[in-house]
Amino acid sequence: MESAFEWYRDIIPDFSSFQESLRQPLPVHFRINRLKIQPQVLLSLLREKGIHVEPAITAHGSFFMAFQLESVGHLLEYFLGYIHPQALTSCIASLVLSPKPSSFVLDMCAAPGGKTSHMAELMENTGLIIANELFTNRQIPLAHTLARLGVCNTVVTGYQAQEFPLRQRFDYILADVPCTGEGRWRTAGRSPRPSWYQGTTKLPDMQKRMICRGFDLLSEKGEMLYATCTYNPEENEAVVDFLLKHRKARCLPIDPPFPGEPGICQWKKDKYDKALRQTVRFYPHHLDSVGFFMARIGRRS
Amino acid sequence: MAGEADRHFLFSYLEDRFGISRSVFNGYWVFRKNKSWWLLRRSPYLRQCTGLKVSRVGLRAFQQVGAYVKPSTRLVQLLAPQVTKGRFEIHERQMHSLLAGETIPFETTLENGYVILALKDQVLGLGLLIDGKVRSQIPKSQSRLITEFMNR
Repeated sequence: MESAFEWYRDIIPDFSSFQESLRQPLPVHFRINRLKIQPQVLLSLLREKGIHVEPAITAHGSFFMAFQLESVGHLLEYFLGYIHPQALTSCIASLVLSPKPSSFVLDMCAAPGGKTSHMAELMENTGLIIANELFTNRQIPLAHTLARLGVCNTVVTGYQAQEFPLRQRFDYILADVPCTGEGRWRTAGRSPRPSWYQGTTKLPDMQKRMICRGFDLLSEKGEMLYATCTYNPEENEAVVDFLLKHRKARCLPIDPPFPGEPGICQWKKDKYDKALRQTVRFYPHHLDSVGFFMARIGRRS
Repeated sequence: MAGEADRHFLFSYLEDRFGISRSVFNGYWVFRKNKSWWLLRRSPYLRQCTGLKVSRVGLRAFQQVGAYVKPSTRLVQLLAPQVTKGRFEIHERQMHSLLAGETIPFETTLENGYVILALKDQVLGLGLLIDGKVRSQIPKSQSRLITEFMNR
């Protein structure tokens, strides 16, 4: 019987542990929204209800894991905007980009709004975030998330990310692009091959246009984070490699709060720029969360 | 963008009714569309966005309902620490009654109008006070959710 993601056996370290991790359900992680409540107050509210939570990132006191709960979306604290369910790796993306207060930020593919609202929190609800989302049906949950969490520094637009107007330049850009979503796949009771996986995909072409447009929108000292939740090198390293070849871009080092694996420099017959070692891959057997890829990008001087 | 008259109207109302100082809003722009107002944090970068097609701006903050201005649930939740009056602490049984569509009596000197409903120090939303009785103004979809949350 074919095992899950067998085609990545050569690039994913400790492949049997990786496969074992896919048999476990995704844990429930959540972020405390400091725009509305301080962590110690929220933790005390949960304690009063007998809900046990554990810190998920000790260096940042806002991320927790709820062992006993299937979802935190059933809590009153969710309705009140005190907490937001979010994968750990998704939280790390905003932390790696770390937009400063009063800065100018573009979130190219913003729905459902977890990372947008996290960036707003890091910016202390100051500056300006353009939360771009092409699909109007996805703008609805985006708007609900931003309102529930008390975000006041965001404007929503609806452009195709790869055609976002080039009128302004941003200090920070998050390009959390549409992808095959392999990192979300857990096999428990399911086929080892995700049903939507076609083997080949047109996504990389679109992702390459998105990353180039994002780079063109960066200010001189701006930073962009390119992120996906897939293991597929054609959507990850190959896309960043394309940018390095076609723009004066460079990969910046990433210092995540969790150990990740460096990006790869070869996949099948394709060789990538050695700078791709600066990108980071997160695997579920190292960090019990969604599989993720991140590249932090700046301009070459 | 809404003018100075709108700002004065809205923020005087919040100050008079709920004790929220109008200086809280110095750092915000107000946008108006039809009978609703939105709050957006002031930023010099907004000028660079004038050519963009925008579908939503900031936080929906107020709505004109008949003779009253109704602050949004999300606004009063966000500004809860600044509220010094017009806030009713209710207990769970009263909250269940309100969410079921009933009115509950309140002894108050406050004039008719919107009040903030809080349960165990947490702001849930708004009620409408008329002649000493309060009726929940929390939308039905949210009322259902709150009832479920409270039963857990």
